[in-house]
Amino acid sequence: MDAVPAESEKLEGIDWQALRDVSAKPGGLGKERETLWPRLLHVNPNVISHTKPEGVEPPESHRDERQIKLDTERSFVLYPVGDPGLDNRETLQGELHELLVSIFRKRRKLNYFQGYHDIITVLFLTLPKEVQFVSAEKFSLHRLRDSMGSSLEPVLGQLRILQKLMRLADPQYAAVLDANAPLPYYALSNLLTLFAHDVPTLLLIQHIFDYLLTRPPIASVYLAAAILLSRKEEVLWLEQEGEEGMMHSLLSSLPEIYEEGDGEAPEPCEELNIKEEEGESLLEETRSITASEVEDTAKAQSEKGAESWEREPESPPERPSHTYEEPSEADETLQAISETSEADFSREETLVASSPAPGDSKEIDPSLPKGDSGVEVSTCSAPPGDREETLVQLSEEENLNEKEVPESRPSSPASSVQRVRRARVSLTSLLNRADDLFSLYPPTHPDLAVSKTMGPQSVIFTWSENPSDLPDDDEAEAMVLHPELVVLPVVESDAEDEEEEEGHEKKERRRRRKLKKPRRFGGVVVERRVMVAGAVLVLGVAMAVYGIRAAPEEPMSRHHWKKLGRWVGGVLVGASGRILDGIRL
Amino acid sequence: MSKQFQFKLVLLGESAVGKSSLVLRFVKDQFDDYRESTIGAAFLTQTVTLEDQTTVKFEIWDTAGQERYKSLAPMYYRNANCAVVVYDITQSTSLDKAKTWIRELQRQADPNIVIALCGNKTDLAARRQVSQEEAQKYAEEEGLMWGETSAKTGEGVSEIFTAIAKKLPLTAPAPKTTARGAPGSSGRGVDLNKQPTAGQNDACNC
Repeated sequence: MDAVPAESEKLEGIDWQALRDVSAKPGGLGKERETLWPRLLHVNPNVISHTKPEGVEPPESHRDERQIKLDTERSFVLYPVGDPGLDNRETLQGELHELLVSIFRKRRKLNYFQGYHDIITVLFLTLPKEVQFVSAEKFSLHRLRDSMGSSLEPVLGQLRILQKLMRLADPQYAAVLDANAPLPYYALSNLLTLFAHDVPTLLLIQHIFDYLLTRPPIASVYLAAAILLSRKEEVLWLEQEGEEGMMHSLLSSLPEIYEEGDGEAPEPCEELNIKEEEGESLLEETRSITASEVEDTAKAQSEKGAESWEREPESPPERPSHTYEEPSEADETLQAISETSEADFSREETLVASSPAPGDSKEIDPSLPKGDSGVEVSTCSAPPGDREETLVQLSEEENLNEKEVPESRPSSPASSVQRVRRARVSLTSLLNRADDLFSLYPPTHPDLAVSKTMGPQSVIFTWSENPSDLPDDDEAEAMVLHPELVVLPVVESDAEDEEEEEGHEKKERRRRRKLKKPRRFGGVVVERRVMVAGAVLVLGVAMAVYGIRAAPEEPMSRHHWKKLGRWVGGVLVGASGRILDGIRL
Repeated sequence: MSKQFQFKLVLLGESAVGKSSLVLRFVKDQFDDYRESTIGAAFLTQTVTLEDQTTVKFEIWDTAGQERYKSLAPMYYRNANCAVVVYDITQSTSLDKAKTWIRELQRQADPNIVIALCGNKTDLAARRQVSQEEAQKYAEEEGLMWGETSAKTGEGVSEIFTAIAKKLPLTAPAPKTTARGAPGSSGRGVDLNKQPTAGQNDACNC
């Protein structure tokens, strides 16, 4: 912490690329994060000493304080449980509450959202006390702001971008996901809380924050996509079951993520995180049916598939049979990856069964009905054929064992016989995967339609590596009052699905698009052309409003107009493309 | 062979009234003193078997309580066969919020939806702000089921779900394939009846 002032002269000289590289490696920024995070958040070290929450905190309470209290009273559930020296939960809750309240009392225009406390918890547990407030303030104003308006709309915009990214990265898989949910709502908490709500241990979430804070705010979308891609096999199995809810359940929880170099060897057939229980049971069942077919393709393609998850140059490969190949030809390679990853997974999972992530144990409930002995065998070691047999048998048994609720839970072991491991991925492989996605499909990629989804005042556009390019703090705070400039109206579900199709079947698609569309978006196939025209109109209005707002402040406005120009350019090009496209139809 | 039903159930109610805890008790017979807030929604299932061996599988959507997540709620109650609207007996404002949800359901949800009003946290009866009479009277006026529960002790929890299960097939006969997300995707040779997971749970209760 005392390093902060000492390094202050380097503030302007953050080597972003170098830090990005480090952040994606095992361990991330390590202890350095204490001094690096404030800098990455553009905290001015000179201000730290005299920006004490007490000094700036107006006495009046903020409208969201009741909710803040409700949430902090049930905070610190996952970590730092068991962390020596940090065991007084109530004290921690009190301090966290104070920190949160001081932020909202100073930045009164911001709105609290459930999950924000999870994010701030990570800062709270990581940073020295004297930089917590200023770091949280900067974080909120320049990175989290989109979610701190009065509505959920901006994060839904991010979900739309995520959806498009998935369609680019793996069209077939994305189609399955799309068929299940109109938007990837299961990723809501990932995006809203920057994974802080879902990641089970402090070390992992700190590393994820290392990754995110060294990158622009949209990096969370790429990471969410990388995570979704790692669940492909599980999803495809569930899909065959038609379990809409289970899919949500599966995807709203994370795969089992582990940090490399923790010396944590995978332990076969450990009990699963209870969050997954049913989903995995389902998986297991379907697995038995598909395993053999999958196996065949897996043999042929396993090496290819390995690269999607196994890019772990830093550590001894967990599955030595797979080699990493640099993804080169953008679409084709990824396509290939995604096609094979499914198959690959099944093989890998038979080799490497899951064990809980560090700290996961908290979620594993020993009182849960176990009874998975039969399946343990089949899951871990039995060849696919055997599995199938066991499973069928078990499922019948299960049926017999079903009872009236009160008894059926703890006492009928057969009802929970099925237990399957989650996908188990190293954090670095996910981070590298996210980076690959970012290079292949950067935010400027037209099919992501970022500039048609988010407005000019979204953090996605206002954030900058260069602090002098950021809106000033007060201006940033005021931006939450104009949600219409943060996220654009939801015209996207139609235009977007057009885009998606483009990635999907590039060649022969144009003619068939009309026929295909309704399949995916049953009720939502509205007048696309009208809506696009509407979007352009809205943009016009937004620009006008924005121009007026920005005008008085000279330097600011010039800078923003530049940015806006880029943005508008992109939008207009994109939109007119859409219109032409529509006319052609 | 006994009859089997599958119903979609949505939980609504103000933040921190115990929605997730109620489901956790129902599905896993567990209780956590500290339960994290739910972000978005969580999905769980549980099956109850009635005296006549009819089984009812609940597909439960547990929603987030904070007002800002309200816009997501229609997605979850839209095709719901039943709703449990939860309030906290120690917070009279939570009953007001429950009433708001009930009005919304009555306007927007399926007209046949079975709604149960549920007063949670009876273990904290010493701090009670909502009397049984008041809540029950309101429920009767609105034609709702009503019950009090304690997710902490388990009191009344399975009763309320069982009562809903009993009421459901009568009012809204639903073949077990109703309210599925992906039509036609249940093929693949596995009879859903035999899902080893029926009667199990899941818990992504954030």
